[in-house]
Amino acid sequence: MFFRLATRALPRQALALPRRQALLPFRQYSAGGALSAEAIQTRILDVLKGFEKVDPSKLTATASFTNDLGLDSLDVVEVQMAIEEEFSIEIPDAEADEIHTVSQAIDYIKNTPAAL
Amino acid sequence: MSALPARRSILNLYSSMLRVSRSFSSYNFRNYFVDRTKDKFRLIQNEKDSARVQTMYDDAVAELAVLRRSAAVNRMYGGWRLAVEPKKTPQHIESI
Repeated sequence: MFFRLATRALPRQALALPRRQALLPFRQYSAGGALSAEAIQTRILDVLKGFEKVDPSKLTATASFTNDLGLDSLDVVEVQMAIEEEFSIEIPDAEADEIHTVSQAIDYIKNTPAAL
Repeated sequence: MSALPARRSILNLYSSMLRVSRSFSSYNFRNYFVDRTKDKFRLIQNEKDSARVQTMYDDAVAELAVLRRSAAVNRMYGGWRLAVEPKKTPQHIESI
C-alpha cells in the first residue's frame, strides 16, 4: 500500500531512462584531436577548387599560387581569406605574407592548433 | 610627387577590408561589401596614375574605419539568417 503510494508520487520521468540528447555542434576542448594531414590537404585543395581562376588540372599540393596557378597578389589575399574562413582562424598579416604555395598553407594550418 | 603606397600595405589593407566586410552579420550587406571591396581593389590594381592610386588608397583607409563601425552595429542588429544562406558547421562535426 505504502509502496504503491510512494512509486506513484515519483514523477514519471525519474523512472524513465534519460532520453538521448540531440547532437548539437559544439567544440570539445577536451578532445585533443589535431586535424589530420590528409584532411587539411583535401580541405585546402577544395577551397582552391572554388576559385574560378584556378585551373583544377594544375592544382597540386606543392603548387605555387603565383607561378603555377597564375594568381595575382590580390587573388592570393582572397585565397588566404578563404582559408581563414574554412578553418575559422585569423592569419596575422606578417605570417600571411609568408604563404606563397599550397604546401606552405598546409604547413601553416598544421602548426595552428586553433584551426578546426 | 607623392610616393606610391607600398605594395605590402595595399595588400594588408585589402585583407583587413575583406575581413571586416565578411564580419557583417546580414547576408546582403556582407556579400555587397565583399564584392565592393574586390571591385575597388581591382580598380586600384589597374590604375596607372600614381597620384590617383594614392587618393584611392587614402579613400579606402578612411572607408575601412566606416566599415568597421557599420559592421559592429550590424552584428548587434543583424536580424535572422536568410533561407538562402548555407548552414555553416565545420566539416569534422558534420562527419560525426
